[in-house]
Amino acid sequence: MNTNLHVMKKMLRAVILPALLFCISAVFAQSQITGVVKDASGQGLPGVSVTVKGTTSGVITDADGTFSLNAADGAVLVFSFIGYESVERTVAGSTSINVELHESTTLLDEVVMIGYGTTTKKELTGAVTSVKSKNFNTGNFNDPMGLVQGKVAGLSITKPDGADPMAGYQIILRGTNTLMAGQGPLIIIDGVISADLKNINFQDVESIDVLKDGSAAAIYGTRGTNGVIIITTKPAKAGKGAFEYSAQVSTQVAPRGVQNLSAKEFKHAVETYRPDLASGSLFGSETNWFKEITTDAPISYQQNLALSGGTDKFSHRTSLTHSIGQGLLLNNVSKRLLVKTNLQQKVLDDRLTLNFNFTNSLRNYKPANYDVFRQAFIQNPTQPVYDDTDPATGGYSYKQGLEYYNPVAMIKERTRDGKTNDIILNLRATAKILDNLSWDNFISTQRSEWEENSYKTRYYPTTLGRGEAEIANGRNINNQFESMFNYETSFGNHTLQALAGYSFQEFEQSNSYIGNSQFDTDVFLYNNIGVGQALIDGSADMSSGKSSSRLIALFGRLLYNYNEKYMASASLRREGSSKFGDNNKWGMFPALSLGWRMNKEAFLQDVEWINDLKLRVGYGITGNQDFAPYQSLIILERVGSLFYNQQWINSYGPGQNPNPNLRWEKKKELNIGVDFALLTQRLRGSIEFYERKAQDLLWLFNVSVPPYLYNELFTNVGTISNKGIELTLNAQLIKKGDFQWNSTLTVSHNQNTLEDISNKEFPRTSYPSATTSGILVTYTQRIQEGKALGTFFGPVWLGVKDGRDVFKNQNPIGQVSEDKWEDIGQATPFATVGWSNDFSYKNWTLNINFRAGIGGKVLNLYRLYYESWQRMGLTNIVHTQYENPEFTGGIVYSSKYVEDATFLKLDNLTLGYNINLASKYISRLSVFGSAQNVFWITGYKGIDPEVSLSGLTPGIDRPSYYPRTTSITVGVNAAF
Amino acid sequence: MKKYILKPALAIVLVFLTVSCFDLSETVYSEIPADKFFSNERDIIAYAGRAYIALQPYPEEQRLWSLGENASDELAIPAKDNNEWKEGDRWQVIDKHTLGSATATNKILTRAWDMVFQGISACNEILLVVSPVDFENKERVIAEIKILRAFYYYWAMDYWGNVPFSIVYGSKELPEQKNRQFIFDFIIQEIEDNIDFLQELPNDEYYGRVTKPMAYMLLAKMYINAQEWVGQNKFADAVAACDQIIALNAYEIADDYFSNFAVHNEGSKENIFVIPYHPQLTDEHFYWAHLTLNEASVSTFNMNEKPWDGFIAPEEFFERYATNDIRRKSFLFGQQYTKSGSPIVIEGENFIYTPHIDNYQARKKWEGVRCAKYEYQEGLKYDVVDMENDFVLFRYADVLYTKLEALHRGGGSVAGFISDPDLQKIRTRAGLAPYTLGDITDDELLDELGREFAWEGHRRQDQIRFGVWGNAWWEKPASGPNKKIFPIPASAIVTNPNLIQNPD
Repeated sequence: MNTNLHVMKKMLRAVILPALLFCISAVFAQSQITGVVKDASGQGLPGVSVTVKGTTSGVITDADGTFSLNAADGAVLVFSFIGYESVERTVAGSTSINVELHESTTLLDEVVMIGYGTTTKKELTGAVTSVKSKNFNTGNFNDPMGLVQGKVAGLSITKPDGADPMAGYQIILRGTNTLMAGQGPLIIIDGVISADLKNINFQDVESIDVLKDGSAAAIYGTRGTNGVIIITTKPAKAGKGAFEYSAQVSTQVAPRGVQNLSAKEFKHAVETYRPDLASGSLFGSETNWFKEITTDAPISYQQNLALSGGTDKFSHRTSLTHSIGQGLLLNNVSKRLLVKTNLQQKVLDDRLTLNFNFTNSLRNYKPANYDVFRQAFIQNPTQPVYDDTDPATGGYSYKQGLEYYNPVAMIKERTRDGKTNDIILNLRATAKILDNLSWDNFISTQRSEWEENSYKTRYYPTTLGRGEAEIANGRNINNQFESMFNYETSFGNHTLQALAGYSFQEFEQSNSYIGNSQFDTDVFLYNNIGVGQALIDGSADMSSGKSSSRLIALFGRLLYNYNEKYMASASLRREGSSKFGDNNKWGMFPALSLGWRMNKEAFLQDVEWINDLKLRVGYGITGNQDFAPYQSLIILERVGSLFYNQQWINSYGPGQNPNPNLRWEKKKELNIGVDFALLTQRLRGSIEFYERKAQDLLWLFNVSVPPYLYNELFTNVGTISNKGIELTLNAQLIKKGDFQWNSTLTVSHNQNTLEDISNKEFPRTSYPSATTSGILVTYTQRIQEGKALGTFFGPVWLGVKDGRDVFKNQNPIGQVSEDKWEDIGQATPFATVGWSNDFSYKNWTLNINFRAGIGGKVLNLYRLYYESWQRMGLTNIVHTQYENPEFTGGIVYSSKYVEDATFLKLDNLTLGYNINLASKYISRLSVFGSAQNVFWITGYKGIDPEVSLSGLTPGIDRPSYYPRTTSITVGVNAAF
Repeated sequence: MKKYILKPALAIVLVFLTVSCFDLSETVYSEIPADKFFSNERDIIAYAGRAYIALQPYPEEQRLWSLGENASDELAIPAKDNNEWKEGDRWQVIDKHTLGSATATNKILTRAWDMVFQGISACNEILLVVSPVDFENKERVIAEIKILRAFYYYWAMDYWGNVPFSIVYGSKELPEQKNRQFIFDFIIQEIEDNIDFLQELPNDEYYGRVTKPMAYMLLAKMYINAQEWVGQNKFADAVAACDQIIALNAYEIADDYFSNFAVHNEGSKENIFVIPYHPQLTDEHFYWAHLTLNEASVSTFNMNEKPWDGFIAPEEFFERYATNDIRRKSFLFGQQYTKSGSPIVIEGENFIYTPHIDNYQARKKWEGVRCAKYEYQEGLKYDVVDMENDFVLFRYADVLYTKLEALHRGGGSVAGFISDPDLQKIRTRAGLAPYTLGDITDDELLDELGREFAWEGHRRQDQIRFGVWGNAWWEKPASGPNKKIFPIPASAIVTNPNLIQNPD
């Protein structure tokens, strides 16, 4: 260790000495220059770097944009600021130089976050898409990912849970790369890894950067496989105090639920097609169950206040958000209070920068039970909601049927309250050890506390006469420490940036649950849970658990570029996770990417219509460790109770087959990309080709018992590949006088293939999956080698003959044996398209976003379960049966219910107006009106073919769902 | 100036990297790491108890009992007229003996197999772990686990004939398939080698555990079926095994047939080997009330939720009871009454269970008689309050009837046994005349076994042994001799290439 220290000292001396000499040599024949740097609107620009060209001496402009430095006569001053075009001025006798900087139109200087650092668009070698706040979707979002929906090719952002105010987006990047581990991209918010999107208000977001390929994501090692999304929030800003306010009010209109028969249609259908049922299925009322459980026009609103200001030594920004989101379902609401503060301070002659973040996110909510919508669907429309003949049912109409419950009673006779309280604290200290060597330390802690309580009264349909209370709560802790050195240098045409760091992260989860029932009164709700009789009878529930895991890594990266023509990036992360078997705790995750700016070569230099052309090639290895801890250990857990010597004792034993050889899932990805800017920058874009292969996939394999204890073993076998192409085009279509039309088109295609799921020990190559439950039990998909995940298999439906389904290859009794089932389509679309358009005319702006999915299949479970006269009786059926009454058969799974999922959606339509105010106090005032989820065009017979595509069973439109609505928002934004 | 910053910075980094943290060992909170467990004898029993817990799934909806009973003529699951219990015909293939290699993915078949072989694997693992530890009564505990493993193998060879054989844990070698003769010999040998270490007389401590009389009953079962299974006449050995139990003088025929199946049947002097259940503590459950009753029966038994209305006894089987046979009350039929005794009327219709089922593919809600042999406690709710009755695997009446049958088949002296007062009591407590020598015929014995042991997991073996398994009954067509054993589940064949499927 001592010798190491000695060597390091020597090395540092070798670096420091030349640097010192360099500084000294620059000091001669100076005179003082002062001036102001302003932006195009005339505002002083703080933070602009002013340097004397060819030297390292320079200053930063202060809060008003003024600067002062010494420079020799004839020296050239370089004014540069991120996002602005650099300007050079020669000192020619004058002692005052005022400069106006213009926002960079080339966009090539735009900063791109690459994880543990930044680069510029022009130097970028990986597949990274960066979206800045000025390019965000406009409108109102309860999750910041809505800002970039449709804007990043290959990033699927969908909301399968409809209008639920609690629902976030489902995010999938470049297909499914795992069978069992997590599928979501790694979310990083202001340096906090595995952050939670719900702890951030969309208006606080400055930029969203998506690290798509393996070479870009490999710096995050074990968690990079599903891509990395880096969210940067608006930082503290020096300058005179600024104050911003915004408010939005929304309502939900045009609710769309699955269509069943109205009371009149139902009565007609029973009398016409099922007269045998007339006695037990017509109850004389007319009830629209969907209307009974929904609110007419639920109102939501959000207000946000942001304060910022300070000097270049000390600045701050605080944002306060309050929102109430009302669901379409009765008693379904989410309220949120979010406080976020960022403080920045520079000390020790600006050598140490402290950046402190505090976030507190409080949420109170009443969650939705999606099954209520299914109950409303199957409920007999001739049954009344209320019926007070039987006092035991509390005035609700009650009919006996398998899993048949009055949905109005389910809502009104249950109290559900949820709360989350997230506190995030972090501090980043960046020490500038040398001018080009900095040391960055980041310490962060996130504590998330949650509770969810419920009380079902004695009139709740499944707990009639008893009452049932539940209390569940828990805490998650995410602690992170990172330390890294950053070194930058340039000599001649060479620029080099080097990074080396250490990362430590620990997660801890704990939870507890109590359930009790049979209360004498409903007045306690869940607040006096001990008094239920079930506790005394021994049938109350109580449980708790705790687990933790740890990740430790060393990482480094070199970025090199020669004259902005040839670029290279190499990174390596060595990471260990406590979740893995003793022999496989550590893994290596290297990446290399190269860039070649072709338009700088002689043969393209004179081609005028090419403004920029860059070829990128990257290769990287990433991992996935997103699964439950302790899978590799031999753990004794309670396996049951044993009657021993006249008392019941717990028996402990291995609860799973231990697998000490558990190791990383590894993904290798090759990405080839081209960035281009053509026709004087009016058309910009990128094309990406990629091939990613995830190997050593974890899967719960069936094993023989004996020799194993249980018939499932969690182990690494299998390979999934995803190949695809992504196109992003940004075009300035029209710029004429005051009118401007900018458009972004993203198109992506991905082909997923399960290459391999067998080996010598596990020879099976096909597994049934997506098994339905309830009235019809059948598998609908197969996980099969050579096929995409989510491939439907089933009988091929040929049509209806004599009222019955006819299938290809059917046997004499009309059935198709499983070995004759065929591939009847895959759930994932062939291509997804996003098209967003920004129009501006004078003070008006208009934003129109379309999104489309082309190809892909969706299984309509509502039709499968309820499209048959035989399914009618106590329960209602789906309306499509009423439209095709000639079908009299029973329900059999087949391609009849696997429908084309192609759709075109108008996601967002926002019209804004900037009000010109010559006010001294109000610097900006704008209003907007926005509609989201405006309409969609599809041939699908259900509500919306865009269903969940994540997990192993994508493309299934499930019976328990939340309806879709169109939301209309009006809002105001003001800056003071 | 710069050096001043650099030095402490370097020092901090070095200290950090050396002292802290490249430690990736897992901290376990809610489970027990395996090396921190055994500290006393009770712990050993708690560990070995897993082999007994593996019995608890036995009478569940989709396990071994259900598989065997559905295939026999005393239980059926017709589809209801609202499509319930149709379930892709997975019950009907069992009922009609059409289960074969093409339908070997059947869930009930698979889960039955899993239950048996997880029991075997648990025994193997327990023997490996417990063997090196010293504790009191070690030989007895080891003998218990070995006999329990033999009991699982008895089920395995009975249901599937040719099965994978493994008696060691720790190797990943896939076990080889052995035929019935091999498993038969293994079980006999294992009983002979270990029976002397077992607890001889039943007592509180050994309730629900393997004892000497349990092992003799297992031996008797092996021998009574030996002719059918391995072609050997072992009837005299069966009689000898039964006599060993009789000689203990520890068991009696209960006065009340139904007391053996009461909620609190742990006091029964007739039951030899049971699976104890607790309404909440046992993770696997006993829930026949849910399997068999229609929801209208809720008010008869004050259940806390609606039962599932699936398992019924076919009319043909039910009619084997004479109307004066007390055991006929093992089933619910006719008008049903509330707990307080008033007739149940649902929407103007009298609630009557009818033995006749009109349409096997569209059973109406109250068609079919329902099992109520085990007393149903109040407040039943699946997975919340389940049946507390201990499930009877072996009981003394079985010892006596096995002896009777072995004498009858093996040419022993039926006359010397027929007037045995305990044997006669089985008939008289049912309200019937005791047997005389002339009554004992194959047909009568088979019917009587059916009546006495209805739904006790007895019938399939009896029908096979009496040669009527291939006959047609109700919707079941006549079937060939290959149907005497079940196909090996596809999941087992896929995971162990050593296994060859039983012929269709």
